[in-house]
This record gives sequence, structure tokens and C-alpha cells, in this order.
Amino acid sequence: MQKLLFFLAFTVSLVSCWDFRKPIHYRQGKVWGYKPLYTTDSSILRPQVMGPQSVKFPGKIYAKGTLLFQNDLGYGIHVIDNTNPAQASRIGFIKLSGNSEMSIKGNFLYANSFTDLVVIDISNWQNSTEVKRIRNAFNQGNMYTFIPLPEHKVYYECYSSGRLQVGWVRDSVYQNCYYP
Amino acid sequence: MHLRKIISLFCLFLVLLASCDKESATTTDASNSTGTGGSLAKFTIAGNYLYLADFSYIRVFDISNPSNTVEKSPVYIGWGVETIFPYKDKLFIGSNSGMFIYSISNPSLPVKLGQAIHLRSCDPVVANDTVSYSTLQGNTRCGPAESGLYIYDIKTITTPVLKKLLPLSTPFGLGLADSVVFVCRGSNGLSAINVKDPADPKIMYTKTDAYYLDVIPYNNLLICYINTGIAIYDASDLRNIVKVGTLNY
Repeated sequence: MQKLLFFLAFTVSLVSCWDFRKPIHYRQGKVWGYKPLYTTDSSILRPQVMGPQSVKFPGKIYAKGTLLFQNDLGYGIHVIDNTNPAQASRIGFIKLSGNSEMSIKGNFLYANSFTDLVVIDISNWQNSTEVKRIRNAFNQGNMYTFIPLPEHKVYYECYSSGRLQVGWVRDSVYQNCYYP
Repeated sequence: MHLRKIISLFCLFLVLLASCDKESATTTDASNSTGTGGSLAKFTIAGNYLYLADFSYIRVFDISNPSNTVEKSPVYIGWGVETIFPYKDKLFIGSNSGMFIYSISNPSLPVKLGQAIHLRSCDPVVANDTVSYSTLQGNTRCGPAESGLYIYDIKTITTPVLKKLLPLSTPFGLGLADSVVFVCRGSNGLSAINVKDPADPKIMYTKTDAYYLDVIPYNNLLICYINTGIAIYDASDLRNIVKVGTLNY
């Protein structure tokens, strides 16, 4: 009898964790969504100068002298020549994985690469080089996804901080995070 | 005896139900807030210091020697720090719960001077010596505040006083050029607001040719972040800005 009661209490304790107000489609389990694609290759962290790229996920803009800079969320920074504002054009791209923010003073660009703060010497931006990296200087409370989801209103597997993400793949995921 | 057991079991059930309720609410909140990124700067430099708006802290870095950038102690601000704007020896911090003003007279240790708390909202800030301007957007992501341009008298820095609320739909980023505040309003355009008398702001004109998100007044130019690219205006005459170019995505 005691055993039976204990078993009942246990079952009830499990059942009590269901949220009965949730609509049916929100029940626990796997759904179609996005899974982070991780890499262990830390060389992706190295800033790399490239030719002009098309804009994938436009982010913030920064003006400095006759140049403009614009984040491509998750991927890097577009360099724009604004010498003649009537004909502003993209002249290059500084690849910087996990980037979303930047600021410049003098010849130095301060930008994030995921949760790291990276200092880049841009005295000659075509030869941009990393001169300093401070780990976990911008951790965003560990709640931020640095690589944008390809679409809205989707479930995704929560980003695991401390791992290097390079993209998203469509997959069945536990609905632990939702992008509205 | 059975009845007593059943009753105690029922009580246990109720207790567990209540405790689980709270937990699932927190989890839902956490997943909702994922993907909330400010459309305005979280990095800013003042003097030899770099300040990052990092979730609920301001992170402080001495950059006097860039290749030997050194992190100082972070300063706790409060939940939902969204934007950071430097003006002279002050930092204006826009957060989900209000505007905070910090002194950086000692740049390695920002100290709180004053704050203006409002309904939960998104809240970028620009300022000059005596007045600060923020846009608040009341919506589902940001909270229930009334949308508009909030103008604060900051002559007494410790107690900002709301001087005027100019209701504006869908405000995003903003920029201050002399006595004109430019407010980006998404599909409602770019509004130029004369604030010569901050207590009596007047909308001068609104450009509705694009979806405006943010604006940078820079050397007589307005560099506008629009949803299809970057629009550049000649703003040497603030009464009549002229679009000189557009860089499309």
C-alpha cells in the first residue's frame, strides 16, 4: 500500500509539471526548426580582409573620415568608401565571425567576435590585423545568438555559449528557444 | 485513513502544480528575450576608454594603448541595457527600464548621477548640455510605454525632469544635429524635429521615401540606415536636407 501511494505521488508529481494551458502544438517534444552548426576550428576567429561582399544581415553603421563601416551580423564588417556620398560603394569586407558591434578610435577598430572583444589595427584597412583579444568581454548575459536565424517565427536549439557557431541547419530540434 | 492520505496527496499535487507553474513562466520569458538586439550602438568610446553595454552591465576598457587594452571593473546598471551614448564627461544609458546618466569624470569608474524611470520600453538616447532626447517605442517586444520623443531637462543632472512628450508612431533610432532631432520611424519615415525650444518641439518635415531605422549626423551629412541599404543626405541646411546618394544592398 505504501509503495502504491509512493508510486501514485511520483506519477502525480510528473503530471503536475504539465502546463495544461499550453496549446496542443506547444507540447514538449521535437519540432522542425534550426540547429546551430558548430566548429572546433578556431582559425575562423582570425579577422580576414576580403573583397567587397554582398550584404546578408545588415547591422549597425559607423562613420569615420571618408569611410563608412557596416556590420553584417554574424559575419563581419563592410568597408564603404564615402568620399563622394553620391557614389558611396562597398570596397571591401573584414571577415569577423560572430560580429555585431563596433567602434573606432584612431587607427583601431574595436569589435566583438562572439563574446570576445577584438582590437584590430586598421591604419591600412587592406592589411587589418588583430592586435588584442579579450575573451568573454561581451557575453550579453549568455542569452544572445551571434549568428542570425535565417527566418523569423521558428524554433531553434539554444545557442551554447563557449562554442564556435558558423551557421544554422534545418533539423528537428527540441523547442527550447523561439525566435519571434 | 485512506481519505487522509488522499487529501494529503491532493495537497502535494497542488503544491507541485504551483511550483511548476512558476518555473515554466521563467523559461518562457528567457526564450522570448533571446534574439532581442538593440538597433543602436552598444559600443562607445569616450577619451581613452571603451564602454560596452553588456546586458545589465557597462564593461569598461582602458584603450590608451590599444594593443594592450585592459579591462577594468564592470559597473552594474540594471536589467536590459540597450544603448550607450557619450556626451562630454557623461554616459547616457538607454535601458528597458529607463534612462541612466553616469559620470565618467573618473573614466575607469562610471558613477551614477541620475535616472529617469519609465514604463518598460526600448530607449535610445542622445543629449547635449541641458537636454536629453530619447525615443520610446511601446510595442510587444519593448513594453507598454507611449511611443514618442521624450525630452528631459537635465540641468539638474541628478533629477531629470520630463519637459515634453511628443507622441510619434514607431520611433527607432535618433540623431541630434544642432537644434534639430532626426527620428527614424520605420515605414513612417524620417522626421526632422526643431527643438530650439525643447519645451515646444515642432515637426518640420518627414521624409517618407524609405523605411528608416537609424541615423548618424556626421560632418554635414546624415547617414541613414534604411531597410534597403544606406541613404545619405546633405544636411548643411537642416531646414532642407537633400538626398545625395543611396547604397542598396
